[in-house]
Amino acid sequence: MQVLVVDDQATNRAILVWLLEDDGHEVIEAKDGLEAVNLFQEHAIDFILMDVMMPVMDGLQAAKKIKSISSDGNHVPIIFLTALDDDKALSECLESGGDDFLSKPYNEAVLRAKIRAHLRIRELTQQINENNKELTLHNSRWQREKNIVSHIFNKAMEHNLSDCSNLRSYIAPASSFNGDLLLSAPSPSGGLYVFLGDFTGHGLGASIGTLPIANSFDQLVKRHLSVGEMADEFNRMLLTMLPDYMFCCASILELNHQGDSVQLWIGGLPDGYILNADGTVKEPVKSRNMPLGIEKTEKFNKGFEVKSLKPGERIILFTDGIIEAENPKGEFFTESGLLGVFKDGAQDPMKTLLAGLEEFTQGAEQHDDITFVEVSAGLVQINGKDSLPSSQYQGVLWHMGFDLGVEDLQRANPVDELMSVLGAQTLLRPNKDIIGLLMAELFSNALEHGILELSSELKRSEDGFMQYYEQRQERLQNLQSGYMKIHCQLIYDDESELVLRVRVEDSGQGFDVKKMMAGAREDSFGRGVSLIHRVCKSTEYFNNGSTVQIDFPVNRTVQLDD
Amino acid sequence: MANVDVSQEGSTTVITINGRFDFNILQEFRDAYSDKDAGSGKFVINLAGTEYIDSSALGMLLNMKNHLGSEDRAIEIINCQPNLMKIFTIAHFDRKFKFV
Repeated sequence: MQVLVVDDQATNRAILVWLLEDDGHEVIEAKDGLEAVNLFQEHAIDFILMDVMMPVMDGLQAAKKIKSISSDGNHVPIIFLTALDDDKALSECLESGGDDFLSKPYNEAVLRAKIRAHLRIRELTQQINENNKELTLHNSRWQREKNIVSHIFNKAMEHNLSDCSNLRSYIAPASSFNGDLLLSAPSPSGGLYVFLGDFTGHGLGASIGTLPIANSFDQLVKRHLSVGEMADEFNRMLLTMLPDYMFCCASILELNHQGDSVQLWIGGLPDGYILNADGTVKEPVKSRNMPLGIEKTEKFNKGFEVKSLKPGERIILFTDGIIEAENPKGEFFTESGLLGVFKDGAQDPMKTLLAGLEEFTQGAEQHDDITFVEVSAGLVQINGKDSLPSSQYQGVLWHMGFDLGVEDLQRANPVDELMSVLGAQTLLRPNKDIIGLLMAELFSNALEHGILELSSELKRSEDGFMQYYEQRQERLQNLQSGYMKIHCQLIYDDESELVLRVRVEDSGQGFDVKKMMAGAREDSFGRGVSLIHRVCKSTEYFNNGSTVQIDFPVNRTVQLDD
Repeated sequence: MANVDVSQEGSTTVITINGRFDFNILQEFRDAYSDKDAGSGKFVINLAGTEYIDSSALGMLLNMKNHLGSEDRAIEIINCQPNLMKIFTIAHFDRKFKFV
């Protein structure tokens, strides 16, 4: 250790030098305070023994100076060696910045012990100082990384409508990273999609899973998937990405453009509620599925619920952060606490709920992320405008053809393959199921009555029904020649309405359309033909029934009532 | 995997249809009720696992109703997915069967 000995008496210095060097220290001498200060600045001093009364600058002043110039965290102990022994003088030594004192004449053993003790303190201080430096470094690195990650998350969370008259939300993460996720987007048919998710845990670990969902949400919305199909997609994604113990409780909702019907898929989130116009609870909407990221894709249930909404009604959905919110006594808000808020109705359910929650928690620390979302009935408006995309179709007017030969006709489900092409057209997606049915009926009519020349008459009796399909099977297997041409086209019809025009031509002899239509309706056969008539704008037969052409209005909602 | 599962719960016969409900399961479907009539008890068709129906399925359901001699809306159809419901509605099946 480098020790600075400050004394105006050369003999005093000599004794100390002898003593210190004996102990293995390196000693630098100063004969007054000023010299001490200068030497302190020039050398890396570990320890100072200081006389009090000296010419030029006394020990007290020198100590003050030295303490003021020594850098932060560099603790250099100063022990005063003084002939003074009154209390006032000794306390002045400490006030000036000294760390200890010893009255002259001093006992060598005591001096050695004090030096050792103070060097230990110096060592500890240095250690703490280094740790601090490291912590500061880590902290600033973490801050930098957090900023980067925050930026990514904030970008991802921008998939949320800020101005939609049907949507209100309250988001309160428990830490700077949210394990809850709220996404919303206008649907291609003028409605509204909402995704509410709660990943296991909270903080950064939980919020990692929100990224892939947020990023693919817009894509799935554009494809106009049903909420069940959307859940299936997310489930698949999370299954491959998340570790086994992580999953995501979620609700997915699609409100139609009129705002009077909602599709709901709920997996693992607490019950949501449909509220009456007066804010009382009409009915709960319950989770019927496993959370996302658990069930294997083959077992995943894409089913969903459809609820109709009357004007003024709202659906509220939330994550368990609300019902598990704690008050200062550690009690949970609970579901019944939440229902209690709506017992007498509420003009503004969201405001009332948040007020009720605040009253309950009384500012107690929030342990989990809280997200609450309210979707109200009524025409969907985004940014103050009717959200229905302009009825003018912007895309290209495509047409595509499928030529099916004998082998194609004999395949299991040719219509499925056809629909995987047609169903991918965004414009057709809302009516995908109906178009699928339409194609299936057109296909079976052409195949069964045209190519295979089966007679509907057979289907009159139950046994005939059986025979009919047995014959179908047999004739199809033995089919030697025949074809079916299916041509699909997006086109404006005579009334300038955009329609999907499907023309199916088969190699058969045709059939008596009129006779067949007359036998249709309530009976077991001809039902396919009457289905076609009900959903299409026009149905025309050519070539004695061996060619049929239908127009399906793509922008209309299929009227299900009479 | 069997496409048609039949289970008896007391006097209720539950016919569960998985996957595609079309003429390919005609025989299996018929076997599920052929030895019964309306007096045998209640009949429930469970469509929870049904992904697809077409007009042949509609015909099969009507045949079943005729065979059993059931009243309108006596046979129950449960767990019908919304996309399939659309098709039943277009075909006015809600008059003949009870959707639960």
